[in-house]
Amino acid sequence: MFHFKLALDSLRKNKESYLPFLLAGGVAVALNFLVQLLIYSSGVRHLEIAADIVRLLLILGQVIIALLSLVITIYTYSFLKKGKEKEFGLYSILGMKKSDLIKISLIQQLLSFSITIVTGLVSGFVFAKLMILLLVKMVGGQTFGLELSSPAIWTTVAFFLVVFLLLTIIDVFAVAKTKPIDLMRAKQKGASAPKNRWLFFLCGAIALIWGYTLSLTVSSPLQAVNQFFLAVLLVAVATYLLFIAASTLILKSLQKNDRYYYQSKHFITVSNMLFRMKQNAVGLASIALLTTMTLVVTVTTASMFFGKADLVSKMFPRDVTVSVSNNALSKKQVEDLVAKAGLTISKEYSQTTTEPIRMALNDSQKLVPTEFANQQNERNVQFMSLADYRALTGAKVQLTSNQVLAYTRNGKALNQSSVSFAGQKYTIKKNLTSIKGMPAATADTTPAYVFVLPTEADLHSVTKLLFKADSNPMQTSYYFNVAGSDKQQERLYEVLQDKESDNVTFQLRFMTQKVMSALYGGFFFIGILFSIAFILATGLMIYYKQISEGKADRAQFEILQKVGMSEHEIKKTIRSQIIWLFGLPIAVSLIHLSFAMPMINKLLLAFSVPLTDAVYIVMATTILLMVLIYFIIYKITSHTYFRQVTGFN
Amino acid sequence: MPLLTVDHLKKEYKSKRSSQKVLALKDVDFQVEEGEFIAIMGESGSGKSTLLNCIATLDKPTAGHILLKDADLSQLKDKDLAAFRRDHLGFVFQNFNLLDTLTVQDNIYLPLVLAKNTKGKEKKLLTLAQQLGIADLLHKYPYELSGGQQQRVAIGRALITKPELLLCDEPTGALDSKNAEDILKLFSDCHENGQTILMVTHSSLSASHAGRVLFIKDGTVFHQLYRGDKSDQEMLVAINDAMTNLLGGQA
Repeated sequence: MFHFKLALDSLRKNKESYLPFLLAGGVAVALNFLVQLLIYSSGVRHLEIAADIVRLLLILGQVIIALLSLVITIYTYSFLKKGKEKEFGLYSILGMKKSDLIKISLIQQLLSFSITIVTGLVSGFVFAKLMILLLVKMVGGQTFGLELSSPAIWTTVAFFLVVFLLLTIIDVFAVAKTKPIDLMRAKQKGASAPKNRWLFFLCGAIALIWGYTLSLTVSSPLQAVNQFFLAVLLVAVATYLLFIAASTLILKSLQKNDRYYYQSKHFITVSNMLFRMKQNAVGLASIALLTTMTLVVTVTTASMFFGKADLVSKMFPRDVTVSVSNNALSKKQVEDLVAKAGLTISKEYSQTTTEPIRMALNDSQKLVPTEFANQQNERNVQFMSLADYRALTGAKVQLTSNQVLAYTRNGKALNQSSVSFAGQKYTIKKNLTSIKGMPAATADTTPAYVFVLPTEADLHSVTKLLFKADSNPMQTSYYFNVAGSDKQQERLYEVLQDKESDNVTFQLRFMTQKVMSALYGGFFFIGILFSIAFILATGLMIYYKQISEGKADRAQFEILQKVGMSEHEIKKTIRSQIIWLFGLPIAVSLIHLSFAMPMINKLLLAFSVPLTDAVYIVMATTILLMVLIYFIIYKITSHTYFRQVTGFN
Repeated sequence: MPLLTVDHLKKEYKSKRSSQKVLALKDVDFQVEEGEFIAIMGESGSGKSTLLNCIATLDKPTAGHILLKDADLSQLKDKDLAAFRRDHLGFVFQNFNLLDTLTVQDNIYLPLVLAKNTKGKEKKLLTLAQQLGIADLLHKYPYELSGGQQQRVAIGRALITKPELLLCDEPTGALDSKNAEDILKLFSDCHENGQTILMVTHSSLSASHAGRVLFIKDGTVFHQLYRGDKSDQEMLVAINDAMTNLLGGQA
């Protein structure tokens, strides 16, 4: 009881330094809990096809966040430790045994652990629920299933138990190793000038180059999935090492440059930064990683969301597509079905091609029908006659015999001048960039070719060789817009579903869009949730960092004032210091992001999502938003910091 | 014309909690001629630090004037104060107040850098460093030095701008007697080179190096003592006598 009282007393006395620590700890718990909740949520489970990549990203996020939490907690604790050690020194001089001190430390850790866990779990859950409410309103669609799950709670609690155990071990070491008089002096000990750390620099540089190279040289989506984690880990480690080593190297070289260094606006900033770099580096690297994480998550999820929207518009030149083979339905019958659903048709047209056939493109540019193509050379191929092509597009192209027009979707156009199929070699007269009226994308990501053959006879001979003999491979697709209510569109879906068979397939933009926005809306939601949590955590961290350092800087600015630094100059110095602190991580994260883009691109392709222009708009918006939020935090921070170090207003 | 004129200076403090005013300086009136070495003595709470802060422009008088040559310090605008301090005044503090993040050399350069007057700084530093006996410490950091060495660096920082007036606040307060003696010897040397020095202290030993000693009690100049042709030892005896007689035997 006596120990408990002392522990509580010390907490109360060091309130000023404990509160920010508890705050940072609480935020870390909340973040971890949030991710855990998502991993185990029914919302993610119900994402169906995308569930795996979401899981992968979430688990990756969890690893990074766990790492960051550990760093942040130990870092913020180090500020606290000095004051605490002094107190322990006093107790020790007053006659307490080391075992008593350790007991007190244990009780303190237990107290702060309980406080952070409870506040973190509660605020994490409340935050998640609130964000869901808000985002469901914004994005629309059904609610996102997120429930309080015990594995999520236990994992979070267990992780932070380990973290706090680590802090206790640090305490025990400090107590056990030192003499009381050293503990007393812990707070006064000035940090010594940092040394150049070439080894750190070298390792960091190697890790960075390795990580960047992995991203730049990734060749296939599959490889991207496999190497993404390694690349992220390498870059994360490199960021920490380089911030520690390179910052010192750069600042020292700036110090050597007389003309730069001996200017009032650089003098104090540079020497100050150099000294605080040991602590600053870890903090700044963490901030840079958080920022990068935010950007990557936003870009990935935005790509998913907008990529699909883009895909839908490419897949549907009109609201409805009905494809019919073997004259199973006439045009009139299709129109009747639409009328039955109570909808009116407009802008109708049709197109005639063969059904798609799966072929493999081998090394000698020969297309061979196949059932088992590998990922690299599989192609979906369709054929159409020149007459049908002209009827569809109104183009006045001529083809001589053995000449074809080629049109490629979902991939790079054929780059050779000729291609062989059905035992015949054809010269490619032109690689078409589009065929008017034909969808510019298909639902899957396999590259697809359409070849326009010169005559009906050519078409006939090709289909005879490639398709089964007993069926007519030609299919006619009807494209049209419909006007009517959502209910009527749903009716149309049911009506067409009744007619669906081997010979009749159909697609409705309305329904596809609905399914996709449910799917990718959930995904986008997770991304936004993540980004907001990250941005907030980062802001808090910068704020915390400045405030905790402000206390230490106060004496210094007092001296500077006495020696003749004006309020204006102090303001300027503080500003440039804080600008560095804010600007550097953002700059680094932008560089990281640009190097990560190739890999992200491939990663998205693995889940059949192309990178569209909309993504860059989202990216720019995110960056702007982030800068804006940071600017606000910067303003608040510099104001508070300035008041703290100078005592002016 | 005197270098420094303190003209009926009065300073009141309002305490934060109560409306009651505390009178720190009642009526202080004295002059300092160029080249003088003056010590201001008084007990804790006598107002000597307040006086120094007012002269140093760190604090504003309630009434009265302080003139440095013909510039009235109370007329200076807030934004010009810092520039005035670094151009005309040098400071030596009891606890040195060196910046731990700067090397000895950079600590001494600091006022020059702030004044954007770094031309020929190396030469100025070299002369000073030799004079102060810190030439081989220039690339060390303050926390690597002893108290006496730190105070030498602080004096270097105060003198590098060639200030018209060197203000010292208990410069030997944190030093042992050997180091204190060395530092006082340094002040005497500077004084002989023509430096005007105003030192606040409660140590009669420190004051015994000065050419004139002002005694402050209850916010006024109570008594002053001229060295004349006394040696340091005789001066010390005279100061101690004055303290015993005039200040009621509190020393």
